[in-house]
Amino acid sequence: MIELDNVSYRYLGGDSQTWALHDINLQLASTQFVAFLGQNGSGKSTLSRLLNGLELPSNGSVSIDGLSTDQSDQLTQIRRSVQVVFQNPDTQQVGLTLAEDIAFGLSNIGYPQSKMMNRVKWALGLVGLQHASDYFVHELSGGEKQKLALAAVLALSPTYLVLDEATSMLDPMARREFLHMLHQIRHKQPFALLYITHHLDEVLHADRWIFLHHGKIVADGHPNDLLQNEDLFIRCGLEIPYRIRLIHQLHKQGMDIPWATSIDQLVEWL
Amino acid sequence: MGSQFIFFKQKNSWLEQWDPRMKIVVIFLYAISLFVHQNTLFKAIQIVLLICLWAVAKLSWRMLGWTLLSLSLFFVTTMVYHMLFSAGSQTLQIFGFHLSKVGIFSGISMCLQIAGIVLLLSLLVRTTSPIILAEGLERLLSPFQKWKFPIHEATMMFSIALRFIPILTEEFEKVRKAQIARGNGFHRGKIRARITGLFPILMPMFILSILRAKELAASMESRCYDSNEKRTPIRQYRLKLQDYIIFICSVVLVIISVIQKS
Repeated sequence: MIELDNVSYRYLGGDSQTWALHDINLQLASTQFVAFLGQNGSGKSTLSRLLNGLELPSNGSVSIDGLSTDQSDQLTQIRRSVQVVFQNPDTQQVGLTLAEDIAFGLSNIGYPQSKMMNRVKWALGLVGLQHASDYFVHELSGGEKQKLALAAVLALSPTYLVLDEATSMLDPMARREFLHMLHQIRHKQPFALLYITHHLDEVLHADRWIFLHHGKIVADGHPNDLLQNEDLFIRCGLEIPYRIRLIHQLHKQGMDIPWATSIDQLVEWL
Repeated sequence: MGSQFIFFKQKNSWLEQWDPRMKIVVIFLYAISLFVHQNTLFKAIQIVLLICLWAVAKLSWRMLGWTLLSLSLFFVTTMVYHMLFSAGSQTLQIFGFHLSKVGIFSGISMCLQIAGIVLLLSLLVRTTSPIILAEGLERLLSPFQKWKFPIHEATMMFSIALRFIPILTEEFEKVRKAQIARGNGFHRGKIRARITGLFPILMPMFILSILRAKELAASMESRCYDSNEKRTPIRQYRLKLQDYIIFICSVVLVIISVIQKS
């Protein structure tokens, strides 16, 4: 369980009146798919950095399965448990080749050397890059680099996986492929997915949505409940997918269509 | 783009299988022998041996040709300098110039030395992955860590720098083209205008590099990197019989060179 207790965060040197995060209280279970939604500057990425101790809260506390991020001797264990895939595919790889990059994290946690290459192959296999273990990282496309970043963190068997706008620099095709693969992996290998985005269509099947606005939580609940609140999306500067807008309009016409209806089902229904 | 900075291409040659520590030591000893030995014929034999190793490494002859051709200006300058300015009683007269015979031999000797060093380094970087090279260096220099020399940090910086060269090259191209599109004329005009025109490229590059370094540091930390903690080595290096034999041969070579010189 991840617990944030009265967490506030203010960047050093910034405006002393502006909080990147203000008075956040959260509990995140270790199996859920939770989406953090909000426009740029709402505090989503700051939150992700607090979760594995990359930043420490200015006030309050963050604890991961009972380990507090302000205890420096517990940070390795926390970071092993909470892994993050960041936005930019170019700045997450340390190794020159794919195998070396995945081995980097394993090497940091003291993974036994005799098993390391097997683990590297396993992780590359998860993302469909098993054939490319000796390729140079800079020869990969953006989508492949992001898959590699995912493989590198999955190799460490995290309990919580944070995706910090991990698809925002990918083209639509690579984005679809990445998401499809992510859900397939999660099906085989369960972990809590903490998904930070402002693309609603990527998280329609999440268990929980948390809306952030100006560093505060403004809504927290199941997507089916929150989707009914059109004003919330407008307030948080988020674009509602066309399909959802259509369902909204149909609801107003008195038609009872479930929110998670796919385009094909919707056409059939209509 | 930028992959030209990484000279290594996997060829599964015998030289690639060498232990990197031994490879570095042997190349160092070979370089010493090249510099210590006075006999030009002996140096020529050493160069022939290096060319044989080039073949063993399955490297292309064209690449060897380019490597040596790139040194041609240096060879010519060295030869001319030695022939004209070396002392010696025996001289040859060519086109009215008095050329020293000793100078000719010392010029050839110097050219062979330089060619040898370049071939040695070329063999090293073309048959060893940069990361393996960094690991080899780290392990060779590890005794210095006892005296607080930041060997691990230095080799980590080296391997990260290599990883980032292609990315920064790509960024440089993007910024350069963006500035050209905005009318920056650094690629034409007088030298001063060209130099001042470079600032609008260097400044964004500098900022981008810092941002990238910051993001990479976060990514490394997030993947449990701590320079103070002991890490599992990615590869296990074990010296084999062939490594010892090659090492002994190299030591013998250096001893012969020293005896010959003295």
